[in-house]
Amino acid sequence: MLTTVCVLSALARRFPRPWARNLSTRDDASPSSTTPNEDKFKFDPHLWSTSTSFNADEVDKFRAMAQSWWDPQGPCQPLHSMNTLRVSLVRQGLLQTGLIPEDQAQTGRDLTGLRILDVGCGGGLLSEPLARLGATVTGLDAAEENIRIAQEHAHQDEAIRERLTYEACTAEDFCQRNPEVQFDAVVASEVIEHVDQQPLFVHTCSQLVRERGSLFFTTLNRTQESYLAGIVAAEYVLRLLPRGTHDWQKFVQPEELEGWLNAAGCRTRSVQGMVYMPVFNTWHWIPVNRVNYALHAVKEPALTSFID
Amino acid sequence: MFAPKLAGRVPRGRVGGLRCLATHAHYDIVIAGGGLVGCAMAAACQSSPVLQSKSVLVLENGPDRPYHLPEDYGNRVIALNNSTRDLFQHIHVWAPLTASRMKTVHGMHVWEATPESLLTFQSDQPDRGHFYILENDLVVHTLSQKIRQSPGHVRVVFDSGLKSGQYNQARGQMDLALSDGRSVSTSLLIGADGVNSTVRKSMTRQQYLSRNYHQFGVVGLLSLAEPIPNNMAWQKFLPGGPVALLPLSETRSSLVWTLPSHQAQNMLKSPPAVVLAALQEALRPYPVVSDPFPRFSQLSQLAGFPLGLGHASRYCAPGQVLIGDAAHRVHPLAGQGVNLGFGDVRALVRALETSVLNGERFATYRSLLAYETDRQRYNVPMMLGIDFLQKIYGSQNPVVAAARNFGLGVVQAHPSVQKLLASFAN
Repeated sequence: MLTTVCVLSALARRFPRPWARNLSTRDDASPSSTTPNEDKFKFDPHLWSTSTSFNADEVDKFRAMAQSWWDPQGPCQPLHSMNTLRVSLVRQGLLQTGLIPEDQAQTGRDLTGLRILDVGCGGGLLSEPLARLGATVTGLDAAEENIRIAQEHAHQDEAIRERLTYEACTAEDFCQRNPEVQFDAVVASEVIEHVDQQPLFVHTCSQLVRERGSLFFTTLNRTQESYLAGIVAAEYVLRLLPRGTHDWQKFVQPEELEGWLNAAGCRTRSVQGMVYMPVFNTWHWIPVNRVNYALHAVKEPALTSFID
Repeated sequence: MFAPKLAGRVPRGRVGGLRCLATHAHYDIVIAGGGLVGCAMAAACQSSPVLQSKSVLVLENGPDRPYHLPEDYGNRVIALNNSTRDLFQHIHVWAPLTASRMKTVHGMHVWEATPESLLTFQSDQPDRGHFYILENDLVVHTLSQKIRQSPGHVRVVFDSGLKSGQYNQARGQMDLALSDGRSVSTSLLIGADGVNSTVRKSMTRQQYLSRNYHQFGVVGLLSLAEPIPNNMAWQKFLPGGPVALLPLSETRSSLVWTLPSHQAQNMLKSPPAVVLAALQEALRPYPVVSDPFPRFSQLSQLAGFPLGLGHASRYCAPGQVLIGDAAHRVHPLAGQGVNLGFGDVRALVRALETSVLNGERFATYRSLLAYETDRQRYNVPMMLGIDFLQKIYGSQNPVVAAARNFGLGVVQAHPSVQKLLASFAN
């Protein structure tokens, strides 16, 4: 036990320890963990037309990974196996909010007739399964290389290619160009920790979803545990991901995300912890959301925003 | 021929008529072997809301024989446990089987050379039996009737087996050549083709561990001298192997007698009356219990088959998977062989359903591996357990015999151990 602690602390010295200097300043800017205060997250719509959540460095990271998206043994292996949780998250979430008719649930055609936007789709790892369950899916990614890979891969499966559309653009660009388009669900899985201006990103996502439609986010919490598990363990010790994949400072606490969503007129329905088992390459739901978690929110009908 | 009959019964879906087969047809699933496990797999696919849209082709080597329930019982019977009952209820074949000829067995007395070495296993649920005895052919017939009558995309082709199969990496499918000269392709080839499985033999990096027990299973039909309720099964461990008496009705029981090969061959050559006398001699001393021990007056339909153990190191390869005897073969002493096969059906259906609901391409290798892990985790200890029982009861070594009696004493004294054994068998 002591040895483990020594080894871990020795390892940790090799890494920057962002919480040592930044936690306090972060805390000032972020909500208290128990009562998210909406005012702090009020989004300024004037930023809307001029800003973007696009971060060129982050996009370059994933551009470099483009060729390995569909390699089940490659660096995206955990993302492949994460589908067991995130696909069921979408299925269950849309069933609970009444968007899936009961007789269509658990048939393998669960999402028939629904339109889903996959923001930050990468190589289409999540878009394809959602399309296979019957949804019409639009995938967005800022890196053209990723979109090309996603399109090529979708083309191999004639059963789904008709229902898949990919576009190389940011969520903000898409929203601006298609102001009328609203989806039944917007999914941003393992994306928000890579974007700038996260409140703007959440606001954009909420614009793209219809009333009573759902938003699904999966991301990493900003805790000491997530630094150890998500960066030290995953990128340096176990080398599941290329070094530098994640920036701990950009990790999002569920309370922050909930606050931004509230400000955008969306009510959070559930926050669930997830854990990855590297040896078995499996994901499991857990009651602790200190590292990975999934959040499901529903866009409230417009009436409430008028009162606002 | 089968084709014109079927055309009227099964709605023409994606599968179409048999003419489809003449060209190059594609099926989501091809099941090699239309026996117990193969038919159960097809029926389970039909009953699954997730898999019922999949096109299924069942290849049966044998002809399409009309089946009539024979007046007297046959000698090929199977013992189904409650897990299999659950599966059969789920696929809606349990009710027709109950209405036909089925014996619910309340429990089993197991004994050895001495009358006090008695163990009794009983059902702990009042509304359920310990296990159920059914004729093999009746179950196959009921399952295949079920497949033909249900709407769905299942086709059965008789007089046609799998000749060879090749995985097509580029298309992610199996290209199959059938014994009648046709060729089809499929996303998933399920090998339910028994101990000498063609599917298993065509798998690369497959290792089949097998052992010949140098024993025969001698089966026959026993007539009782006078009717008794006959609700219990009886099994005696003899030095040569176990002998089991499975109740069929108030006046009939089925014999399953494990014997060393040479002894069995002598038995099969002898007149049934001689075998019956030898059996009655071997069964003594009868155990002393409240249930009446059946007295037999006649033995008929004697037959024998060699016994062995076999286990495939891999249950799956890309595009193909093994279920039932193709994957594992066990000693009949615990009556588990066919139940393990039906357990495979449940597990494979579950694995395929999960993968479809996760939006994966149909029958990915990953989902087949999930099935393999799930089943081997259960089958391997079960097989080792049965093999262990076979060994310790077959041994003449006094030390082994002493250890065995001690073990038996422990099981006798502790009902919880008995319950544990029974629950594992289910």
